[in-house]
Amino acid sequence: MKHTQHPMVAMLSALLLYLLSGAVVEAQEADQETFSVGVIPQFDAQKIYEIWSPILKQLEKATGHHFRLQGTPTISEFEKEFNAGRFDFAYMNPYNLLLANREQGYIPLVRDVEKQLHGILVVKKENPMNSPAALNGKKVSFPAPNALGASLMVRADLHDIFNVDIEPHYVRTHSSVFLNVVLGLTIAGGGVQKTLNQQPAAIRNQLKVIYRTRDVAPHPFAAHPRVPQKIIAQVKNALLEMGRTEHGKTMLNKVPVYSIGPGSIADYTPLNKIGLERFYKE
Amino acid sequence: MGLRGKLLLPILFGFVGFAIVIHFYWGESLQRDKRASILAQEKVLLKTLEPIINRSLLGGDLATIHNTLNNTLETHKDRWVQVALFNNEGQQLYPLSELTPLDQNNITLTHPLSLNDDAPGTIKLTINITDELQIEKQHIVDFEIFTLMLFAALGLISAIWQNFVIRRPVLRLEEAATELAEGDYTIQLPYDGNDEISNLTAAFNTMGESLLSSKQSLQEAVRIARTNEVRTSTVLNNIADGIITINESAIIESFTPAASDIFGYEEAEVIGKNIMTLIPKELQQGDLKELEHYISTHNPFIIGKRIEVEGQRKNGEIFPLELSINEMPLDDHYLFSGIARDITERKHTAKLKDEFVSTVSHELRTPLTSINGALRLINGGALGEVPDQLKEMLSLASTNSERLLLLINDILDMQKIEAGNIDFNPHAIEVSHFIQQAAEINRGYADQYNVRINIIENSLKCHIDADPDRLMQVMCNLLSNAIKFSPPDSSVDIHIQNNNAAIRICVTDHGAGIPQDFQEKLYDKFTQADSSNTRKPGSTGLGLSISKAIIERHGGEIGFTTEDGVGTCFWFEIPIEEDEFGENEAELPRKVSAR
Repeated sequence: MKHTQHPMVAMLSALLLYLLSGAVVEAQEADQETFSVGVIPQFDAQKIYEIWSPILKQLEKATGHHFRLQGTPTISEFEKEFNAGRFDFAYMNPYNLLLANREQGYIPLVRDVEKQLHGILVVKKENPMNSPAALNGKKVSFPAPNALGASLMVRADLHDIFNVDIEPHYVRTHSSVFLNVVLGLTIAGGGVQKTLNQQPAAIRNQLKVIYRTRDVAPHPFAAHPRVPQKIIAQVKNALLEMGRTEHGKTMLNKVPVYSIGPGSIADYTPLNKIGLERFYKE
Repeated sequence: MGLRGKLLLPILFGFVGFAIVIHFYWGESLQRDKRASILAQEKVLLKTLEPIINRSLLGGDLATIHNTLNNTLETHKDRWVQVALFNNEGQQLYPLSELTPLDQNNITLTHPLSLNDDAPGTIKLTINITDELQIEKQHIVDFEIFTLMLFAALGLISAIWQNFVIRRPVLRLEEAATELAEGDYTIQLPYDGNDEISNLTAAFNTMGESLLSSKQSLQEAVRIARTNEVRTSTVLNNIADGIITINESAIIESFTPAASDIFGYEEAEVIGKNIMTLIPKELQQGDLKELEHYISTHNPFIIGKRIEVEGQRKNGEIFPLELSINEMPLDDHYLFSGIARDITERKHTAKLKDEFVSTVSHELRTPLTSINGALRLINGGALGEVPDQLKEMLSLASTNSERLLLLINDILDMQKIEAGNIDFNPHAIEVSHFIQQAAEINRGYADQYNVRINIIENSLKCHIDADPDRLMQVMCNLLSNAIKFSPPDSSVDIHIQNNNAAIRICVTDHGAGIPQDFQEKLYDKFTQADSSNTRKPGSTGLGLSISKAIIERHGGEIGFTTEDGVGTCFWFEIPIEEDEFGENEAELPRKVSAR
């Protein structure tokens, strides 16, 4: 079921992101060598700005170029923009990268090399269910149809491995997934370990993981092929350099990237074999 | 309560009233308004939250709901106790924990969510505004305290100001009034401005000046009075006559040293005692008993007259006393001053003189009568024809012996009258008849002088109570005097007038009149208008004195009017006695010629 986005909300979100990124916009106007940066809106716009604004400032300092955070109100909006090649640089989930690589030739520069990405399936702790096999015909919440770990990979495995049909219920965010499960509005929910760990104890302690999907390389920071190789190299180096300083690490942890390292398209080719496009919704 | 308290009382009442209004009305009203205002704010806030909650609720975005409500709860934690969201099935979506039981101080607002025609859920907000209301209450209390302090400050300022502009001047006035009451009239208070206090102070100063002026006038009057008193008392204490002051109850109030000398009493012994103390007891029941009555009734026969009474000294001695009583009208009562003169010596001397005169007169009259009788016999030819050469000498001897006899008779009369040895036998006299008699008796004498006697009556038929012989003596004296001093061929007129109270008989001559310098001593003894060459024969110089004594003994009065060159009118008045019918018969004047 495709999540419907109210147009007014989208406009307001875009306006907010636009205002928050005012400094970057001004910089673009002053210098032609300004590059747009897109970030998948897995958090609200304000949080994204708080995370990425210091990183982009650090990039500008290191490379001498200007970077503008170009906001998108929803993940689907982001995907459209991304697939249309509107961002010079972008941070997105691996499946988005595969699609955009196919469409626009986006190249992954760096990624978190410490942890692999996988999806999880949670139910309430008091629920005696221990296997996804019992979920056939049940209402299961997911953040969004195309969320890689929490939605695409969980749904692919439920279908391919456990052969169950569920009623997906898209509730926008990981936190909403966990709340829906805790409150019993859905019997189970798809998420990732990292966001589960970030939940308050009151929520986290009421949940138990009954399934973990296969691992994939986590979110990459990619560049559009139109950006000069020199600048791409400068940006890649600057990001890798950031991972070598405490200050840089602190900034990157919030993305979250816990250990930055070089990434390549080859890291994501195993994902193609899963056939996620069966579950992907335009 | 002092002036300050009374002046501050309105401020105190004002404050109490103000505090009551603030505390019980305004304060309560503010609390209600505050509560209503808070509830309205919260409803607006819930209304603001409604769209995002509706959208999230429909999309299953519970995280947004939780974040929104968490943030809002955190933002409004001062007021919000808890907020809960229920879906349309009544399931609690927020918070995850169970709701805490409601405190009685908490207020719960239930806000149903609405989206188009759906009611996706309900927000229940519990707020606690006790602290805010408490703060509001504290503000009111602070305001009350501030007001109290303001009123206290106002009261203090007012008290200081009132003290300055009212109380101090009034206290000054009070102190000044006390000093004034103690006799310091020189005090003058400073004042400035034109307010009531200043006007009062100015009036007080004016009053002080008036009192000072009055005091000075009084002191001057007292000084003068004391001077006069000293002078008067010095005079009084040094005159020989004793002066006694008595009140209307005849109580002695003052007693001079001379009076002490006369009566033998010290002043202190008689002050406050009745005047009768000084009168012999045996006389107190008699005429002198009347004295007290006469004094108290201001009797004109006593007051202003000099009377002779008998006094009694402390040692019991009774002595003749001349007493002159005058009244002194004071503000609301009378005092009477009695001037007492011891006339023992004078009486004694008079008595010796009278005895001497009486003796001498009797001793003279007896031989003189014989001489006169002998001369009459000789001149009458009883002893034969008197030789012509002796006739003139014998006539001269006879005339002078008669004159001497007349003089001696008058002297004896005078002596008898003064000594009180003459007896009066009063009885009713019909006046017209009496006058006719008098005219007849003196007609012969008048003829000698070729003078007519006319009687002009203008009276009713009335009677007087008198001794006819003595009154005839008066008439003869007056007529003989008038005849003697009338020119020949003139008349002596006798007028009888009745003025209802008394009969006035007036004997008028048409002679030369009485010289001015002689009028004052007319009634003195042995006095004539001219003691030398114009002396008329047949006069002794005692006639008028005797007449005056007789008339006064009848309770009447004697007097004269004279005009130089026109004549003299001698008159006397005797109190009238009404006739038996008690009525007066009117008669026209009629002229009767006695000739």
